[in-house]
Amino acid sequence: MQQGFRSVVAVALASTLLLAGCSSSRQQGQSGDQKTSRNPKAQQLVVLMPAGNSTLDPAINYEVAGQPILPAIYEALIQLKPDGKIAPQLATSWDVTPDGKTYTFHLRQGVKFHDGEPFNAQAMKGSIERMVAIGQGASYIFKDPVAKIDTPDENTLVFTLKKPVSHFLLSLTSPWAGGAISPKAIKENETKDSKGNPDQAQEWLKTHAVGTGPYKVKDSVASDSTTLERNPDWWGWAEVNNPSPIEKILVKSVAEASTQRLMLEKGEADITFGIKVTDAADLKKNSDIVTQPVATGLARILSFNNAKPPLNDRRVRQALSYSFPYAEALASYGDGAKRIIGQMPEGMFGYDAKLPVYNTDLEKARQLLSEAGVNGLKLDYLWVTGEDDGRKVAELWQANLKKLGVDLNIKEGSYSTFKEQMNSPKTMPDVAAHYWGPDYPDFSAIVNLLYDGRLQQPTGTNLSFYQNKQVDELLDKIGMETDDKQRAALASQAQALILQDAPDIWVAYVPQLIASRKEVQGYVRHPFFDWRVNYAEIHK
Amino acid sequence: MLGFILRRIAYSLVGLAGVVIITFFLSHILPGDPAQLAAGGMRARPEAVEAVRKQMGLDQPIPVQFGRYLAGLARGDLGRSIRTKQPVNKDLRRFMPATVELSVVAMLIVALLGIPFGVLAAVRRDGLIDQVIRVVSISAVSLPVFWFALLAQMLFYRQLQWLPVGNRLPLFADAPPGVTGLFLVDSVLAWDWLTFRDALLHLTLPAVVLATGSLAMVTRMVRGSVLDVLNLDYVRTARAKGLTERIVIFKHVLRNALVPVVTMLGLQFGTLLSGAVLAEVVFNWPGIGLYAVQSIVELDYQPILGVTILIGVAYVTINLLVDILYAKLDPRIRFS
Amino acid sequence: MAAWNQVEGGKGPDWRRRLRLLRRPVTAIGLALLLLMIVLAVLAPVLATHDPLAPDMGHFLAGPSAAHWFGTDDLGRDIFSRTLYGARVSLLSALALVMIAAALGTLLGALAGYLGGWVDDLIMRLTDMFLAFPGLILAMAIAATLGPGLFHALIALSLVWWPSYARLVRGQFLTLRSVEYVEAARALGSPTRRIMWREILPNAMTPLVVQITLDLGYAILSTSGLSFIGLGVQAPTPEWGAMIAYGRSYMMNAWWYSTFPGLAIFVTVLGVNLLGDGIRDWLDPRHRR
Repeated sequence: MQQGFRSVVAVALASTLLLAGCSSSRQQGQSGDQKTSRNPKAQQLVVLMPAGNSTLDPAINYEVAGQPILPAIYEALIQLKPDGKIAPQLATSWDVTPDGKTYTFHLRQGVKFHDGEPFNAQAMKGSIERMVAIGQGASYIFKDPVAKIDTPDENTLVFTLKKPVSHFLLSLTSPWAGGAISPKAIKENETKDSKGNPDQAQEWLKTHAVGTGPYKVKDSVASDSTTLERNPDWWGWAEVNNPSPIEKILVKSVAEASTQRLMLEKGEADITFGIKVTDAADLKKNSDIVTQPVATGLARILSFNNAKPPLNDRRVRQALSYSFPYAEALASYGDGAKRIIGQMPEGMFGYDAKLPVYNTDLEKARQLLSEAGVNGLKLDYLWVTGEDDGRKVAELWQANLKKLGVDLNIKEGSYSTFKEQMNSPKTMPDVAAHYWGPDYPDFSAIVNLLYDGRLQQPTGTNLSFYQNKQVDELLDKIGMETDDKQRAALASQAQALILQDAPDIWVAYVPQLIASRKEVQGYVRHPFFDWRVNYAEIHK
Repeated sequence: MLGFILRRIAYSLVGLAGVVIITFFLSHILPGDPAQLAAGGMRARPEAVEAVRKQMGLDQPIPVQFGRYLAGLARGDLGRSIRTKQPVNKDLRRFMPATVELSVVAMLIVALLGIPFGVLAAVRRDGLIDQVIRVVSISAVSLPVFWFALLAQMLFYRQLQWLPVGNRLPLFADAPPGVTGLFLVDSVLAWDWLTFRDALLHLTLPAVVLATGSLAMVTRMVRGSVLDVLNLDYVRTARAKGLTERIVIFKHVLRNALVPVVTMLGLQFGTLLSGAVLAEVVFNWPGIGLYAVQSIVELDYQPILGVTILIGVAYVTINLLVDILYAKLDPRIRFS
Repeated sequence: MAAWNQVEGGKGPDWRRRLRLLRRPVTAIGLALLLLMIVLAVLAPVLATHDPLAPDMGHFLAGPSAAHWFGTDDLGRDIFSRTLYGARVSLLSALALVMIAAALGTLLGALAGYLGGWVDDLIMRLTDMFLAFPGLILAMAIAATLGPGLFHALIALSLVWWPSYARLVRGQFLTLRSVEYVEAARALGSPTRRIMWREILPNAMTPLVVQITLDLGYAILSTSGLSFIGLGVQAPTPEWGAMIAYGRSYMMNAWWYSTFPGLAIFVTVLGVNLLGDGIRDWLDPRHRR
């Protein structure tokens, strides 16, 4: 038992030491705060996102969180510049045959992958075919329209389409339209999946990447962070006016908005995508920080279940559209939120400022409900965990609906719950909240995908079980029409029809606060792809 | 002794098996489609979802899936996370050290402060110090850890700017080389004092916040335990013999009073781990608690199961060790 | 409450003894805090200055003022009124939780203690199984699989809470089974069920009620903890844990949003714990002077 006594003394001693340790570490914290990094800070950049990027595979990645990472690693044939112009990337020029069915791309020469492999037409073709074979992500961009891909020589790639598609070129600028992967890397890292089939390096490419872009992957933790490292051999350094000296980039997911703000204010982060818009006024007072509150192309949509009573009655849907508190909802998003007119964002083909909008009008709503003979309506509303505004707009709406005697039952569900319920009209809730942002800036990436009656769930992207034969016919016409003016008229007509049917409520374009440290120079926000970062031009 | 340990291990295994069964069946009977998530979300084509479902074995009947899961478990395979795309095993190995480091340091704070405070309160029973310790500790137990963490974060990170925000090290700093994954230990082994200091600075606030509740509880329990011993006959005898109070306390009381404290500390470990889950969320501390909550949000079952099983194993093991230690310390206990 | 007078051999009411419990100022404060929160919860509709659910986008995230004592939230709702209504949710759900768990635990514990044999073995192994895990973590896993919602959270928590009550009640039964009056009843040929419910259970109630009181604080912390990580109460019902979680993102420019609901949790749990501490001391003469 002698031991027992000694340990008590030791405990007492150690606790004194610990107390002393606490107070001294506190002083160190004060003085040593600036010394948190060991490399020159001007050569590293920290970008914070509110959500993690789940995979680095360009054939599979299909999420907004991929934007600050994948385009820095992988390059596609062409790109969309912030000014809205289509510009060369791995293709230097392209021709289209007059019948609109053959696209020929002339590829850049002397480009090398991160592993030293030369880039050529076969590599590009292989990457696209890999994407189509895997069949995930945005593979529909190639899978649906392309009949075959040819490589007449090392530097030429030819797409032959099944039928003319007016938006094909634009769709290739999508950040999810894949990129060139080193064929050597695919071959070397191929493993067998559980069924014994070769996996085309799917396993390896989730957390590794070998592309042609200005940065290569140093380290990656899926859904958490990716560390990028400068690729000194990038072909494009010579073409950038003032090439970036940044050596290392960390793109990290920090879910909590207040933590992002703390890190930005303390200089631990350089660019953030997750700080609340409501913090903008406060942040503006801080001279170390530059803020860009902007409306994005990302729309908050509340889809009705158009196939199930009582919402299969157009009058009920219209009544609900009139009951929604648009102004309050807009205010809840903070500065930069914008009302939506029609379904197309301003600046994109199909936008028509003259289209009618629903405004809050409870009297009209009441009238429509009684016309439809609906009483004591009870509606289920589903929002996805993590998308807090889905809950907020529902709570605002609920107050209005109560006045109409409509009971809105707000439910939260995980993303997979949401997806499963959306599969059939029987399981879909009466109202489901979701976001929609176009994959590429065109009418087809919004209206066709959401309202084509032939694209209903579970096989399509139509999230409201909406069906109107007239709309379907119009959409087909728009796809074939080559005269821009005529196309625009048809697009307005289609949107007006859809608005009248009120298959859903378009709440607002969700604004986003992009904030950066004032030392960060040369960063230009991409108007179509909000989280894209032009790393090659950034200085600190 | 050996028989006792074996029996304890057997009980623990039964307990673990039960938890595996409960969590597995709950997670596989209830709605939600992991295959959809794995296939890339909303706009995933149905063929792709179907392929992924097959690949993940989700097309099989539930008993078959359970059999496969158990077979995997026997090999130490906990399945794969949809969110991180990694085997759960690998994820746990990566996140576990952060949680271990956090809870061990919190436990040290609890033991090193709780025992002296408790003894002090008991010796000065009903005096001012005892009353103060009593009220402070009851208050500390009443704090919701997630709220306390938020307030502490605002105070120390924002207002006072004393400590760095979140994570275990500065963002670009390399983890110290070493096998344990505990940055404090690894950096000392590598003689890298800069990293040691950084790791300590990042750890301080989360560990103190996490320790608070348990510290209060242990203080109260130590007090009670010391009071129990003070009332025993032999202590009265010692006093009657004319020994000074100091000698009575240190020589006769403490060594007996502290035996049950070992058990208390073991039990507190469970409380600490539960608290760690909430504290890790607020402090953005990259441990298994944050990993579990992130998986919960996305209905990623395998990691939830994996974390539950891992924590169960850790908890059971620690309690087993504590029981053995307790028996060693207290000769009155016999194993039957 | 009725059971307290049974503590020392069931001598009947002893008001002096009960009052002595409150002589400690700290215990009295605890009782006062708890009663205050109960009164606030009951009178919430009278005391609330605003409709807790009515949004007011003209005044969102406004700081504490004469019009809004605790400020407003991100939808302009009055946080004071929401905190009052939140007391109802938190107190009721904590009570429901310990009641469900205690009922389940009592039933199984009584069966185990009275019947013994394989029933006892089975139930005790089951409790071992649950007690082998940190409860909150197991509850999180169960609640996560059930999906978000207050009802699910309560089910999950009750599932992991009953074993400690079962243990307690079983222990009481084992002791009481051989007590004279039970044996007398058995000798008189009373049926088993009658003996269990009429003779043993009332006497086993005392420690059970005490345990329930002591657990109430932890029940409030656990339910609000689950709500904080998004597994509890659903919108728009005001609940403290969920309010803290929603307010967390606005912590930097609207400190009041998370602070006041947290303070409410703290005060309530503190009241319960101070009271519980007093009761424990009062029951356990060793710790009393």
